[in-house]
Amino acid sequence: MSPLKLLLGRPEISVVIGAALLVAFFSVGTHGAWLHSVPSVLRITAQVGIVTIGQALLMTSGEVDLSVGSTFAFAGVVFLTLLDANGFSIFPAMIASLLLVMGIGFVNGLLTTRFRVPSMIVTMGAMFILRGLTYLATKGSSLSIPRPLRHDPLVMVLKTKMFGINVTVFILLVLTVLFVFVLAKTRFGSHVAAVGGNPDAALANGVSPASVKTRAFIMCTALAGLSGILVTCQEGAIYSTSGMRMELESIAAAVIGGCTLRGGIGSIWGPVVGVFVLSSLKGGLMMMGAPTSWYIAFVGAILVGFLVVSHLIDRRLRPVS
Amino acid sequence: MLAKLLQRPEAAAVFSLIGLQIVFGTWLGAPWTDNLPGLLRDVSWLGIVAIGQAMVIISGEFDLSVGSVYAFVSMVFVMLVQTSLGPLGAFIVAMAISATIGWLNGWLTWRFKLPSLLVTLGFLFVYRGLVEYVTDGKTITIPNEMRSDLVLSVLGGRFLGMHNSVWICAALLAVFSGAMAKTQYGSHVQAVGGDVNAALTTGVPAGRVKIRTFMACSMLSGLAGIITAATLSSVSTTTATSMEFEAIAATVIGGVSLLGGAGTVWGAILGVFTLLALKNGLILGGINIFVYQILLGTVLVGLVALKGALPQQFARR
Repeated sequence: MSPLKLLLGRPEISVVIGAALLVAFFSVGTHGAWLHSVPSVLRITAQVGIVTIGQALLMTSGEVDLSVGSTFAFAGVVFLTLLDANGFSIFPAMIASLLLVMGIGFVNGLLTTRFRVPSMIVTMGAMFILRGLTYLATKGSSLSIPRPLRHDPLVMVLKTKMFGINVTVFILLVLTVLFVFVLAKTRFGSHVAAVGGNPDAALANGVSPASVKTRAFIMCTALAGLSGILVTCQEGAIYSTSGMRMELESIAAAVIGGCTLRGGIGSIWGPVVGVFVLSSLKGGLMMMGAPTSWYIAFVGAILVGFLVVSHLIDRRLRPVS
Repeated sequence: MLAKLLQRPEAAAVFSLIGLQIVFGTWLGAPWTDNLPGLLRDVSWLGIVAIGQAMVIISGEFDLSVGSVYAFVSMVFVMLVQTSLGPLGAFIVAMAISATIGWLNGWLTWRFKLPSLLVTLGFLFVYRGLVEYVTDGKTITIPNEMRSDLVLSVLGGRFLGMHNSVWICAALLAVFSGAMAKTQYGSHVQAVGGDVNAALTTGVPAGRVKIRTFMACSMLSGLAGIITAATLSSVSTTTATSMEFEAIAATVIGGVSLLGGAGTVWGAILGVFTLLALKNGLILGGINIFVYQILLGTVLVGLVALKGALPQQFARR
């Protein structure tokens, strides 16, 4: 098979073409002004992208997490609460809050796999519970990093830029490479694809779908929480509405990037490019003076459109089922 | 007889209602029955939506777009009322739009074999985005001089001291309970929800049944939205946010199986009653409304997990 044909057969092909077209369109449409907004588009891409890596991994295993946006905000809340009231310093507080949200992922996974609750229902419940707790803790507004800790070296590092680009973008790159490797080359990665593709066959081959899926849930919430903590350090605060609608963005980006909902086929870098597409769209629409509500409606429509497309791709990739 | 009643899937909602009555009655001295007319109005609004959601869930699908459809259709209604169409024309057009929305949900789900949770999640944001765009964070209202119009007073007025929405909801409950229990369509809905392949082999037109159920659900959500608009004369950006969540939670509390195939429409109404009695009590008790959200999530996940853990006790009938 020629390299071109190989590329065209990849599930990520549509998102790569989409990204290229979008960059060309906005660069020409704004006479190059859009290019100056690329660093800020990348900053938003890093926030949602880290979350989306987890979502993509989970979707490859055949499940989905609607609670990522609430987990994102809740991790920030826990992090700041530990700093504020309990005298934790930055790094231990990060680790402790990450462990806590991993516990949430474990519960999500447990309820889905052992109690046979559809993951969308479990995580919808978690989404409302965690958002409610976030509202309670922030009293409907925000929490910020306590004053003495604002110049902590770790916080300062996360605020820095390299070559004009936020350090979180590089964290996203590292995580993307890491998880591409995990999905493609490790035993866990092939188990994830196996349980998503055909849980019964996986079980027959000695792979427990329940344990693989639960681990994918834990990784998903860990990444969502990590992103929330990084953003909290970067912006110095977390808001009651932080991360709202991130579940839509991450699922839409994953679907655009070549994940199918049936699981089994998935990609990590495709969804990350998908986040870049959505973030540039958001930035581009704002620059062109369109209200943000357009963006929300647009992403919803893109999600439905790509579901249909991914169904057709799915059929092409797996002609016999 | 009593044992048989206790085994019904709706029993949990009845017990919760009695429990709430006792808890709030002793704690606040104000059981939910004190605020009955106001509570019934709220029950009827969410209840009309829950009837549709229950049918969709019994047919083996989900509709997450109900809250956005509710807001979108009521917004369209409020805007059209002020045009030359007049209230009756606006009502007809708004209902036709709801039917189209439901058809699209159902057609996409069935034709492309997509998970309805994700299709309707997409549309949740599409319609919410449109509502946010048009209302632009504000409230749009029906002008004062129109409020005495016949159509608006039928939908939003009162009769025998009760809001008309209560009577409408009761009538719809009777109609849809009857349809689910006694008609061929009703048994088809349960058949496609229970085992779609078995239904197809026995000649049930599963696609048509599912699409019709989605249409019924969107039309009921739209109708509830129109009724609210006629009652309050206004619609805002945040109207009916997270209503999909309340409707699904109510349906589950009312004993409808999330796996499809089992449950009743009136059970869902009992579930709505339970939820809103809880909300009402918390508000009267001066408890932060976000606690309601947290409790709602816990109850939903807890109940469903319990059914997963104890399948024999919740076996399908």
